[in-house]
Amino acid sequence: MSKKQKQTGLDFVVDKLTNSIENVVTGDSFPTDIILISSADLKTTTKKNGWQFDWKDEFKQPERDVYKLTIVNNQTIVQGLISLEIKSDHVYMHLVESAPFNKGKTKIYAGIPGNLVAFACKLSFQRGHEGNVSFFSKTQLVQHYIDTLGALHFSGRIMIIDSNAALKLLNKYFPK
Amino acid sequence: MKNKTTELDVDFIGGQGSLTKDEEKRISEFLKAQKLLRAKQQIRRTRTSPRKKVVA
Repeated sequence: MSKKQKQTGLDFVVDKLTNSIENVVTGDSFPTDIILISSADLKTTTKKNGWQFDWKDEFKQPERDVYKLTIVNNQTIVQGLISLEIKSDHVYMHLVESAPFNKGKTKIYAGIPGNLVAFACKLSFQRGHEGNVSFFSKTQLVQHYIDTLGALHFSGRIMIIDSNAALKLLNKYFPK
Repeated sequence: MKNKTTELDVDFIGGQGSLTKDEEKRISEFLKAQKLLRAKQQIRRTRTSPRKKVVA
């Protein structure tokens, strides 16, 4: 390849987490599925088992949809959960949580929250809301969401992922 | 030039309640304004594109 051709190459780095999660020990990537949670899944996603939020209660809310992220061909082990509500012009992200074994420094898989947020953007596009997603942030995490998701700090604790940022997330996590 | 990407590194998001009606309304107004701005920018780009000379 000539020097000139090299300079006209792509101007971004595609990481390993495209539509997949990564085992932090081995570095292996595993393709993932995101589907609606079933009542059978709720038996394991309890506070007793280390989950922070009450997902059973979330599942009961009629206006919210709870999705689970699993590794392809292993749908019984829930790697992460997301609760979404379709608003009139965007998708509101109520909750996102990685499975207890995917939290902190001892996590098994990385990339779960990123995949789930990108999924929320994808759903927003599918529902005709141009990828727009909103969610609440803790004050100390505002900058982290700006840096990693391209989110806008709308006001107070509200963050918005607009069309442009949503497209970037989709290209990163769900490339065609 | 390559841009270094940073990965979202949180264990959970949310758990701080739902949007109020007022917050929803303000988000809607913001999204409408953003949409309008994008449309205007699109029109401006279309207008400034060079016209092709038509030879009779």
